[in-house]
Amino acid sequence: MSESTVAAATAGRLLVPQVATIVDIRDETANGDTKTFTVQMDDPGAAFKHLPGQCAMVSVLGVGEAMISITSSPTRGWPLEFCIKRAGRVTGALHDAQVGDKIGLRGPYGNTFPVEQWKGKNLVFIAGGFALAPVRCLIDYCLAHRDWFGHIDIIYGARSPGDLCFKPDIFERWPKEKDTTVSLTVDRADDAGTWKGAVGFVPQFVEKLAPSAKDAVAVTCGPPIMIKFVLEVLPKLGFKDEQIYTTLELKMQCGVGKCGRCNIGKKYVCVDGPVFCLTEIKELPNEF
Amino acid sequence: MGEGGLTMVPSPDQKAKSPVPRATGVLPKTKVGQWVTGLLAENTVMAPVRVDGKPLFRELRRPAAGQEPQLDLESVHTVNSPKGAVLPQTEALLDYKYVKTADGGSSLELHARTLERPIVLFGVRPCDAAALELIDQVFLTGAFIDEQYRERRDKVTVVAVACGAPARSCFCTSFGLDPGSARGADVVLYGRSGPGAAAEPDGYYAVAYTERGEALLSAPAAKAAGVTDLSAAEGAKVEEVIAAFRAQTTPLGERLGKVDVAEKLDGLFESPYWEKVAGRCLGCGTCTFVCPTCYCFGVTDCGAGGQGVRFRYWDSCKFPQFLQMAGGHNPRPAKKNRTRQRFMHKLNYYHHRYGEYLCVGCGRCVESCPVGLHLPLVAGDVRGL
Repeated sequence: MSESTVAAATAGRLLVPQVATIVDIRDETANGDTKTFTVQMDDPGAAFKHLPGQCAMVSVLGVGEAMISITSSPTRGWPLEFCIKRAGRVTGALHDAQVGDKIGLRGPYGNTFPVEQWKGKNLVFIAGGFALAPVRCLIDYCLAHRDWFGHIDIIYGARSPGDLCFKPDIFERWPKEKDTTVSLTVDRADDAGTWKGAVGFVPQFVEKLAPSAKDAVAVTCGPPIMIKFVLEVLPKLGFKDEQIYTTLELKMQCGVGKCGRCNIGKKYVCVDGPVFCLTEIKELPNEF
Repeated sequence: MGEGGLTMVPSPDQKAKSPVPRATGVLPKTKVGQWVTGLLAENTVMAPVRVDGKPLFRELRRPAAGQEPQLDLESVHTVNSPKGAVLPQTEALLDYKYVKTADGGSSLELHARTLERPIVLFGVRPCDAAALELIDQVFLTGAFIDEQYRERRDKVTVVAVACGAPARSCFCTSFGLDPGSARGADVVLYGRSGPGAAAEPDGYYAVAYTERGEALLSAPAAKAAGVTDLSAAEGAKVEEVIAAFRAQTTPLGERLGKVDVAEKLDGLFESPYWEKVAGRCLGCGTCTFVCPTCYCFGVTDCGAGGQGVRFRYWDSCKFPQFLQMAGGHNPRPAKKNRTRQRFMHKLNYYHHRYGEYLCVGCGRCVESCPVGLHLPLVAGDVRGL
């Protein structure tokens, strides 16, 4: 039936992205495998509003499309930032891109962290590696609404000092915020001996720091193995399932609950997630 | 009634689970080809035809002058289902083109596509017509509406043909349908002599169930082909004939009985049954391709030199790569995971989301699975777990 198709406007087409431009690219890690891309929508009218936890489909036309969490807080508006680790074809093509290159962008997709429900609480953020990306959006959103919350604890680790992402945030910006603690750890200190901070895995680091579970909410994002052990440590500190949130990730093609791919049992990560409370995760079948 | 126009049946209740007839015409058997030829003037027509001895649901070519398309309205199953009319096996989503700009950079142009010609699906079996509505629920409900799907869907008119002789593998009756069901159809053709014969020597009652179906029956193509009004004498008989078609059982459906296993499956995710039953799956994906309700798709780009097409294509949860992630992780690494996914999607996950099962009992998986790992087998097994 190809002879009967004609070009049409892209407006309102669910799977057709908007054209956007990469306006800045920043290396996050020493080995160059993780970069933050700053992206501006070409048509200002197409610049969508997102909330913390939400993602967008980022396209390199001719290569493909991937779901990426938005790492800049909505309170900072556009351009948006995406922190991306080189993993497969799409992320590889993005890493090969240059400032000024055109990409496709559609979103925002997925649910959000229930920030409104956390008013009056202390917040504990626990992240590992480049998975600080979705948490960073949330941290900045919470800091922009600083009066809503009590103490803010940011616990972050990576394999080595060079693998720590968002260095200006973790070393300079966040520690200066009111009633905010930033605690950093690395699996291995660098050979040069310049790392003076803590050494050890994130879960044990959390156990040692022992943030109080009283009136607190914990948000953890990281590699699956880190999450697994953090979820063993938090209950020891008194955190109940309903106080713990994380994000899940599965392969996606549409991002809007149609393509039948990213389900875990009856839930679709793209529309029912990516943010899940531990109570919900415990109801999911073990297939993610 | 039946003199000035088509026979009108009063008070169509749009919300009724069973569609209500709005109008009925009579289609002589010898006129089917002529009607379809007439429809081809303004529509893409897809219908069952025999290709190398196999019944296939295909787009019809316009016949040479003086000839008519040869439809196969006798075979119960076409090998493929008509779902490709609403969700093509490959469908362009957009054309992209990178263009070099004067300053040495490049711009990106994206164009969506739109379908111009309406599509008539002619000779669809009731199970397959109902299947289209199950796919509709995915694309046309929820927080996101797929406009491209809707544009295409709005151009599709479904002329179903009721089954007068359900096949050995048919089990629509296990899923609340029947051989004369009108769900998802705009027009249903019922053999005038009633069920029991595969061929319809006396032609059909053409019963319109929707406004669109009514329009099709009163359109010039139908009139020119000899779709005539129902005589008053015959009017009373139509209901009887429809009821007789609808009262039929289906051979496999009778053995299987009504399927209602959604609630039970809630507790069976970890059952050792999945490992056991998946052992013989070859992972060929045939079940998903022939299935009229399997809708899962992938999206990929194809192009060179900075321009090309992004399209979606039928994908299969039976393929190991379906959920393989770039980082190397695969949440469904074994046949057990993938077999469980397919049957849980049909009998549990979809039911949770849309309140019904993602199966219409067409029997294609029964006919096509090379190792006999089909839905009625699993539905029956689950009941016994």
